[in-house]
Amino acid sequence: MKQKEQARRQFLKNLGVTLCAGGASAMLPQLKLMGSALAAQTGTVAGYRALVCVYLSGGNDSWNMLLPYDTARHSVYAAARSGIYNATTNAGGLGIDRAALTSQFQITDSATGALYAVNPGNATYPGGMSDLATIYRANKLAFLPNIGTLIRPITKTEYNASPALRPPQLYSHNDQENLWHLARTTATNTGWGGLVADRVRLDNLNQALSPCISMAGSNRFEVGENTFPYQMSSNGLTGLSNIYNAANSTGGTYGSQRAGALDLLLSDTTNTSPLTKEYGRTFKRGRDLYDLVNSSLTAADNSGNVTTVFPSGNSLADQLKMVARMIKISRESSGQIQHKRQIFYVRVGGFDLHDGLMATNQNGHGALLNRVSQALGAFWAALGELGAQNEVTAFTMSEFARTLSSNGNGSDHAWGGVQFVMGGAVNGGRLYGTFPDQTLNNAISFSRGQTIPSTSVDQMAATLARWMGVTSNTDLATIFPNLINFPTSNLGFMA
Amino acid sequence: MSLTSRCGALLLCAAFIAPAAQARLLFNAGFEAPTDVPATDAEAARFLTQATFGPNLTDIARVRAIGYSAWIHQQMNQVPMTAARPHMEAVSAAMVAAATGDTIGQNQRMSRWFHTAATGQDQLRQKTAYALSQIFVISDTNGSISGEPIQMSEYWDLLARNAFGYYRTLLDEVTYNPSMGKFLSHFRNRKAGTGREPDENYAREVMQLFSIGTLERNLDYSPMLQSGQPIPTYDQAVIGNYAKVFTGFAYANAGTNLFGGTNTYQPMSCVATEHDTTLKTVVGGSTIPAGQSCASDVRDGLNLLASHPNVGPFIARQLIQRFTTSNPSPAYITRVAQKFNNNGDNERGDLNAVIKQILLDPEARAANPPATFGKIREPLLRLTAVLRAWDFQLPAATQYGEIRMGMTNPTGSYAQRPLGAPTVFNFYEPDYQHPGALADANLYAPEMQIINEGTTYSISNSLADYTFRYYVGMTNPPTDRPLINLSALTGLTTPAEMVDEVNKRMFYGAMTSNTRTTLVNMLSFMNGASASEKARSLLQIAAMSPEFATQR
Repeated sequence: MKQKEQARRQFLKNLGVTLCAGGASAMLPQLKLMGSALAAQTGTVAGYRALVCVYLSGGNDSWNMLLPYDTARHSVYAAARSGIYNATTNAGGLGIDRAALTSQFQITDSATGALYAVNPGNATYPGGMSDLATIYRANKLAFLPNIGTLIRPITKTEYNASPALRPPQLYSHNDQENLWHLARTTATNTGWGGLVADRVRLDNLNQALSPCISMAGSNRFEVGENTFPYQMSSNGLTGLSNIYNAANSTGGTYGSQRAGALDLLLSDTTNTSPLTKEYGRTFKRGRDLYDLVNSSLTAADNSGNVTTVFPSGNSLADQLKMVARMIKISRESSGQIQHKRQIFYVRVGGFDLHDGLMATNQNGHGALLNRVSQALGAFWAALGELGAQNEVTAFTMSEFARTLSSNGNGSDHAWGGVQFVMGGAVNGGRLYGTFPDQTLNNAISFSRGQTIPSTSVDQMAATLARWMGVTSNTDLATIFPNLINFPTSNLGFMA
Repeated sequence: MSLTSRCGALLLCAAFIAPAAQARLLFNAGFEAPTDVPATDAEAARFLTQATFGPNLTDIARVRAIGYSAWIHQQMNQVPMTAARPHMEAVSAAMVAAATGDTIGQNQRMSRWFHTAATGQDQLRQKTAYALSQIFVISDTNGSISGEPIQMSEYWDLLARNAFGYYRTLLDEVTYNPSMGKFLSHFRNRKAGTGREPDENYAREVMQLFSIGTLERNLDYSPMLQSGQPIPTYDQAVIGNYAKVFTGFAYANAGTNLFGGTNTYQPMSCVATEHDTTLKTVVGGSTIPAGQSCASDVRDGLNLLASHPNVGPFIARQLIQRFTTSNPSPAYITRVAQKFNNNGDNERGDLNAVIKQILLDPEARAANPPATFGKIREPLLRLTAVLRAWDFQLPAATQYGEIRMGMTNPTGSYAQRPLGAPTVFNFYEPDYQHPGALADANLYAPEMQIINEGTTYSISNSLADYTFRYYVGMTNPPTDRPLINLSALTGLTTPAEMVDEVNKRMFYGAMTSNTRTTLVNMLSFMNGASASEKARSLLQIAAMSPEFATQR
């Protein structure tokens, strides 16, 4: 197995060299065959599949994204959150009034019958997360309550006694974000999405375009041993000014002379500085892929567009719309890309709400979650337009959840929290895992309601990796070295 | 415990309450013989690439006349500071007086920043402020301060004023600054009450990002190990206790009402009744006694951080990364950290000595640096380098006194804007290793975190606007942005002469022969092109080149 793995990596590396040398088209038929052969060996599932990672940056206060609706648990929740928020009588409270949780926000855990509600927004953003509640009720969205970074399951007693059992640098933004991206607690430059892509990318016809595509810049999640994300803007591609381009720009008078000089500079491998060379390689990759991606996105027959209307003034919606367009052109059976596996990364910030968590303005939590819900609602509709709902799974990550108790007008960094998974292949309409007791300082939480996770990032990630076609236990153990510490590697939320 | 160890730490800190920078000047002023005059324009230009927003012919000549040390001395002690906040206030007042409905915004702050970077005489001070602004981060992407451009300008001025001062003073002013207070939410942070604990935001980031970092460090920045494992500098309990230190902050004139006072740039006051006066066990197990005033608690808490041995290497490495190289040797970090720990006059945290060491260190000044020395230029600094390398005709000031520089929101093109990072973690992180060849070689490259297929294009296109599209002599020139004056190139007769001029001004004479040949050939192949077309094509391609994107 190890040998086969090595051979495949070497093959991909050689392929990369060939592509850089401009031999892509000559290689493609063979690649296709080789890819199919390898895929058969590793048991890859047929058809198109894509993951969309929605990163909520800053630490989403997910205890106000999914909250208990039955009166008994809601009152425990409200007490832990320093009472129900009221701008005049309890401005420091972080609890959402049960009366605001009207039917459009209520959902039932079909596994247990327990009642929950999603964030209802506020007077300025009255839609709250109703779009996602609707998808949940259609059984296409599932919640994972109390998931977080873990080395292995850990009790409060163990936590207090053994610092070495705690994930390193708990509560720190960048460190915990890395753990979510890596799904392992040892240092590495790769992320779990990239390692999955390494193993499932061979069926992609066009190997020059990475199977990992980011609308939000660099991220470790999408970096594999042989995979590096293609980073584009949600606005699409803009050509280089004054530079001749084969597909669609003359670059003006002397544009071809300028293009010729630029391409020579980008191809120069003699510079001694590794930094200069890396910059050149990155720029050159952009130039090599520009025609491919841009000509498909902007094709005259409008085949690179979706007609679904996405909400405006919503950066996540902008990113997800471009993801939908990339999925469309990548799935096109007669297109130039013809990818079978893709992993997308989008990101939205503003969740580090130490202040103003309950504010009703555009920066408050209600507004943020309303935008998340509307953006994903539109994305879901766009996938319907493409006929791709069963082939695409979106999921959230966020570095940590937050303290249940208030700091006066917001919440501070904590640990376990709620994430969700959305897609036609999701066994939705229920929760996977145990929604925690929200009493402050109980057996699984600390004094401010920092909750010890009961499910690990690794388990959620492995479940998604398996759906993408990484089915061998050896591969899963390589990507997720701590997975063996947990009772199951398959949480069961994927069909 | 630890009253002794606290006092020990406080004693160490005595040096912080040292005389103002002026006292030291009397000692150091102007006696250094110009023993470090660069031998060539190229060496001077390379030094200025590190020390400023980009070399220009005037500064190259000055450095060659007086040497590196004397130039630094002039910059630190004789060149007056270009202030941002008074300018912003004047523009705002003019807008109010005109009653046109225009109001001051972040656009004006950006115009001022680019104008200062391009034309300010206090280059080293402003470059240092820019470096500090990427450690002590506040950002107008945060809604709590995005509408307060004048206050944010004062924060910039605070960094510039303290650029050559003492770290401890800087840490104090940063902590009390209301824009920082709002950005990291210790503004109006209250002591614990029913159902309410103090906000932990500033407590965490002042340790993780502004002073000691998360791991115990040796002088050369390597992590200390215990049984092979790194040692955390603090835990969650310490953060909870520091959160109590930073309670009670309010507007300067709040009086006794936490929610009172007026919104100005003045340092925050502390409302005693909202300050937590319990005993606090903080970093290293030291304690801050119960019953102290807010000012005493903050003083003691910051003293303990500032005297921690981590600060020297932690700050030294980041400043080195901003000025000279992404991968300083352990010895280079050690030499700068030693200057931080002791400037030679037994003073700690003297940024004057730190900056000097960073720029004059043998590793920075080596004529033939190793291949791994240097850094990806910050994208914004490529633009400022272009603006300074060539003559630009600036637009007339608006009726309000704003000089527009054609760049009010650089984030879209450059993935950067001054005081505009996505989060307190800046545009990129000091430990970023770019996957692939760089990570395989164990090299850091913070700036590569914002360089990708998309941004190589967007940066290039913005640079093309400044080098190719808008120039003196064009038809219908815009009146709201700089126009490049091409005469330094159009007067030259051969392609080789033109490329050599570009090499001198933009590549500190270090353009490789491959790049030179490519550019010369491009010009030679432009049959029938005008001198302007050739000059603009040359500038655009040079500005887009991987070599210009790197600083060696």
